[in-house]
Amino acid sequence: MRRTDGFFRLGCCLLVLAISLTLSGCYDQREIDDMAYPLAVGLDVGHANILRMTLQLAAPLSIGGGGGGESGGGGGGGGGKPVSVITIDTPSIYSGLNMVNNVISKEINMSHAKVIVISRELAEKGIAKYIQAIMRGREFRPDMFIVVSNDPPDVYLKEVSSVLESNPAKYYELLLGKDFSSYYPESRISDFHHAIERDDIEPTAALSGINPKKSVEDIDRMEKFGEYYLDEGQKEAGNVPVVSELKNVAMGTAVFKGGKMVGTLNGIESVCFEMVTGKYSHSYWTIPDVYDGGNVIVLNVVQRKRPKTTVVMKDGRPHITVQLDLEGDYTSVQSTLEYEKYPEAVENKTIEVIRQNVMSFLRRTAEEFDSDICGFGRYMKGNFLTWDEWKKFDWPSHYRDSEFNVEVKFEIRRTGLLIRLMMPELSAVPDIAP
Amino acid sequence: MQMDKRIKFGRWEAIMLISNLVCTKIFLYFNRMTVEDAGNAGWMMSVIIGAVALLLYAVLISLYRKFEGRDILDIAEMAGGKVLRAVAGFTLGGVLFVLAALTMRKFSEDIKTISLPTSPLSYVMAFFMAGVVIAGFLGIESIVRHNAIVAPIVTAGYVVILLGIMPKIDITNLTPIFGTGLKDIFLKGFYRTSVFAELLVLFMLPPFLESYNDVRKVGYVSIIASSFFMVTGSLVYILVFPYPSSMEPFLPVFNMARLIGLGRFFQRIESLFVFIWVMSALIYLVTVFFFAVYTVSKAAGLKYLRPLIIPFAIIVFSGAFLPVDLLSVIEIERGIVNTWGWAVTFGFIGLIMFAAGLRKRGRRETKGK
Repeated sequence: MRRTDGFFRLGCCLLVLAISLTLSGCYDQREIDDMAYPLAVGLDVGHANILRMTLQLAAPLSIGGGGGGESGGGGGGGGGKPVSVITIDTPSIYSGLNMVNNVISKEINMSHAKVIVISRELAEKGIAKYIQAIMRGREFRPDMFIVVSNDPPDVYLKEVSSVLESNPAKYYELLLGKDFSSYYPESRISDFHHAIERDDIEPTAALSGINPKKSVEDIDRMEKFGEYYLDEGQKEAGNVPVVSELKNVAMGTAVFKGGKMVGTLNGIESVCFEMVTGKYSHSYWTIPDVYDGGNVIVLNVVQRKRPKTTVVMKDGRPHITVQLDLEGDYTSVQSTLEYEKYPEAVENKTIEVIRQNVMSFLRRTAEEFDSDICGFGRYMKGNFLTWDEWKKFDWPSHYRDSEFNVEVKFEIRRTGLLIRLMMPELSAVPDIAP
Repeated sequence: MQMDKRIKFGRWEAIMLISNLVCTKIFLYFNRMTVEDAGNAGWMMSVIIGAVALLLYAVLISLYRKFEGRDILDIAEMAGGKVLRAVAGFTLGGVLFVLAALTMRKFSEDIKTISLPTSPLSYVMAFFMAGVVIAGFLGIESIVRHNAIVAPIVTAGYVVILLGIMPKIDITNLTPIFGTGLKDIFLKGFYRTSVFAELLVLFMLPPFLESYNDVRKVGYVSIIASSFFMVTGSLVYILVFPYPSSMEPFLPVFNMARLIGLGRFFQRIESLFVFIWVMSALIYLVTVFFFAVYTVSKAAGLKYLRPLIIPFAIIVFSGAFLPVDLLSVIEIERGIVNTWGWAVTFGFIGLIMFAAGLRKRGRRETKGK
């Protein structure tokens, strides 16, 4: 008996040894150093083949060495560009990867790709067939960001540089995944893919582009703003009045219907989109002064609760009601009127401004794009008991006839670090008490 | 090794064993299957599955009351002598072998798809087979006790995944509330009780449990616990993946885990999934294989079990290669095992108990006369 146990133990030891050796050194053994990691993938309409694919490859030694941006740390190489860009014309994404493997020495591994950049031209032709390939792939992450670029991705990815970040992957995560600027949506590839397949919501992507302005003279050549201020959100990526070492600007939303892009939203419309879908966090809103047209009031507007949405059919038309619950803090009151004490006028003005913007945005989605990007169909679906009934109803054909009603609740809660201004002009201002 | 009659284990171990056997399919395909059957009302179908399984088990366990301490093969012998015992043993053993072979193939294909893409399938399977064989030699006590340690870890990992995915849920995914219709929910909910097919192992356990009461409680608790995880799993899956996209994922829980991202630090949680999934599936394979060999050896009246382990392992290994491709395995699982499994676990075992009960009563009446 003891002898049998001994043989058994010996067998187990040999087996463990065999497993350790074979599993760590056989078929699927891969050295990290033997891999090339694209951080961004660009897709465009090809010339020599159907698709033009651009890969922005990480150069780990430059990233590890600080890339010249951040101070010290890390050691290793450094000094060079943190990324290298390669472009090929190919029939499909995976055949493109095959071809790239013929050019570079390392094997391409997509598991660290953070963003997919689609050219506007390709987006307008339709991208569903490429998105499904990415979703099927084991290495692609479902939380990759999706961006539509006004410029060809090969140009765009060459220009994207992260001055404040030595790690371009972190740059993409911070830029496209942040919640403190709402001028473009946070669009992930899995949500995009699902939205293509659903009939109760349509997909969207962040809109980005290269800023062509090299100096303030280029800004001076832009159209003059006129008598009143121009809201900063009225712009789209590419025409933002900014001069920067960072060349790419994300601003606006690409609107899709199915897999095809049908239009764009500017910054302020993107904010409204975020508000209506409950993904808005906070941003500064510039409101014209109620009593002093030459000045503005700036508020930090926060979404207090998720919006309440109801969709009902009346006379064969969908009636969509959105109730927004917002609050804000004074950030700047240029006129020095006593708005801190009597905020009602500013609250009403803000409600009016937000309501007008949201209404205008919603009407555009229905009348111009005929695309339910806010997913009102999800609420309409609740009026049906079975999937067959819902499919027969054919929501996409009804959306364009929608009537919108937007109710905004807004209250100013805080005044910043100052509760009043004691400037001399204050005594001369008109009485704004209700 | 003939099974040692003195081996006993507690209710906790048995509950963990049965629950893990039933719940492993949550990691493999269960959530997708409910959506394929009832659309976004798949979670309701899971509730029906649990309720029907509980009902059928109540009937079975009331029939079993007269046979305390005996397993299903002993009962079959009471009902129809050694012939029925052999028929029952080979049938139930055969079912367990089919389950072992299918799961082995599916599990290996899954591993190949997500972790070891360039390794040959036989290479991947060989390592699982090694685990199965070693566990077979170590015997039931090791398997059951190992299960009692592993199952809570797997459960904790699964709960972490369910909690981690919470920010991604969308309540409107539940509408239209009845999905593809009430007919699908109830009718398919009935025959999908086949997901409890592994419950037949419970009727091989009585000699190792203390009393009838233990068997009864183990069954009820296992069914309720498994149903809870199936319903919550299915519900969360539907809340995360909108229908019809929810019919796409090959490994539903893996795909769910891939979506988890809590800040910049808690990402790629699927590595946790692979860990718990491998533990759960390996223990499933080990248990099903062991009981398959045990059932067949007992049906054949063999004194020793160990000599059968390696030959049977080779049969399972070869059998796993019979389906041509992964989709064939999925189709066999969906169309045969999970459609007709109830007939074996609840129908066949119920009939044996019913016949044995009649025979027992007949004998008593004859004796009385």
